[in-house]
Amino acid sequence: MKHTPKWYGINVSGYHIREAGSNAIQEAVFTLADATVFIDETLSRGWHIDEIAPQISFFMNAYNNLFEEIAKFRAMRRVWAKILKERYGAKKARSLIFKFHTQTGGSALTAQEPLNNIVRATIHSLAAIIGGTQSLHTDSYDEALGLPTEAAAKLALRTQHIIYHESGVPNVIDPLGGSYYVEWLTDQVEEEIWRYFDRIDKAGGMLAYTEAGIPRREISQTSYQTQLAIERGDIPIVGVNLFKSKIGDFEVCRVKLEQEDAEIDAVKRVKKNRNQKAVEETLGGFRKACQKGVNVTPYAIKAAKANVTNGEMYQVFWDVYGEWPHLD
Amino acid sequence: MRKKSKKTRILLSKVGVDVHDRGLKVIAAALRDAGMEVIYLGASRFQDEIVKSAEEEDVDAIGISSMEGMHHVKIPELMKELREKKIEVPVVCGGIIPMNEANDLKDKHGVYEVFSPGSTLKEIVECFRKCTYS
Repeated sequence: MKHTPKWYGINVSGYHIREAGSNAIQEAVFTLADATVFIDETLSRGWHIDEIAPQISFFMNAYNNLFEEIAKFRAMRRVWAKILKERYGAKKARSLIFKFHTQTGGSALTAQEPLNNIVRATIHSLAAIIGGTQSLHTDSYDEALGLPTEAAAKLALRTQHIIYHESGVPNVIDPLGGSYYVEWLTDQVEEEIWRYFDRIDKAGGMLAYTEAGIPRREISQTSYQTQLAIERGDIPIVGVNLFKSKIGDFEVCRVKLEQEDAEIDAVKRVKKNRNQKAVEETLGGFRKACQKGVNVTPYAIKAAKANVTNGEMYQVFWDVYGEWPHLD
Repeated sequence: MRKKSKKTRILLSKVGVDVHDRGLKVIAAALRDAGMEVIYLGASRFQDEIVKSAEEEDVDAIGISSMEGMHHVKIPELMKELREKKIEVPVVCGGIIPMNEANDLKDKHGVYEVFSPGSTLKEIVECFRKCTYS
């Protein structure tokens, strides 16, 4: 915050929560609750809420139900502002702003009739833009088949260009504000977010909730129930359980295996030509900072300048903090 | 062959640097609901971890999920290691695996079945039942 005042220090992610199988409410509440953990930790290091809050941003998902997604973004904006004002006593207007990037839902896309995904990604994009997103990533239509081909990636970009330049949609802020249905839905979503929040608070806050493995379990349960509902046909997916279609032959992107060797060689070259003493010193400093639990960023920058690799720094994270167990 | 008194035991894992475990967890839940016992290794596992676990846990079948685009390398390597260790249990794969490569995994490397996106839990559970004679 001191050295890079315009840098967003953290981008709190709800995207992965949604892709892991949560519903819209869980995505919203777990993300906001996660943010409170980061705030609490930063405050405990002596920062003031109005110094840090403006530099927090979010990374959200936009899924199939257009109005529910728009209501989700609108409700999150309200809840975030209230948390900052009421829970943390923020005074600056900028502290209350919910700023978010959106990626369209990858797991909503199908391998069957992949061109249909262009339509889905367009609807997801509209939900994000009408919902007020600051930036947007539109998924490629071949997401369910592999890495994007160049043509698929370009089409994803053009989807944004068409919405931005031709449709007029981004010219209005909160265009559905005042719509009786969207306002009602926003109220509903907000109410559900607060109810869930209360449950987390009663369980001792999001850190305790996470350490007890509850969010993961709840997300897994929702994801299993969703799959069962898809198979019953209760959640229609065109090409999968409605107007069923087989997966056809499709051009997919393949990364050449030699690429892996080239990358390994490049890392080896860097390692061979660097000052080993500087590596040991800076990596040692980085390790000590991790062990002490202080801000590790200055140490990471020093290490990076001495050509310490990402992998070597991650190894320190693993050594010091361990890994979250995959089993639950 | 499996003793009658024992529940069918399925080892579920991902192989390689791959944390996309949503589908695998859903399959774990479905197999449990179908009365099978699931040994869940989860995300980002090395081939030797899977082989070791299959050996120690005396499983009846192995389910491998791959979404990271390295299935055509990692899965044949796993099949080779299993053969070398004489672990002769059926291996069922799923994930983002193109059709022609799915056929290669089956025909050339001895994978029992490959499920593509959109497969139903019913089909997958049925396949595990069939390959473990349960």
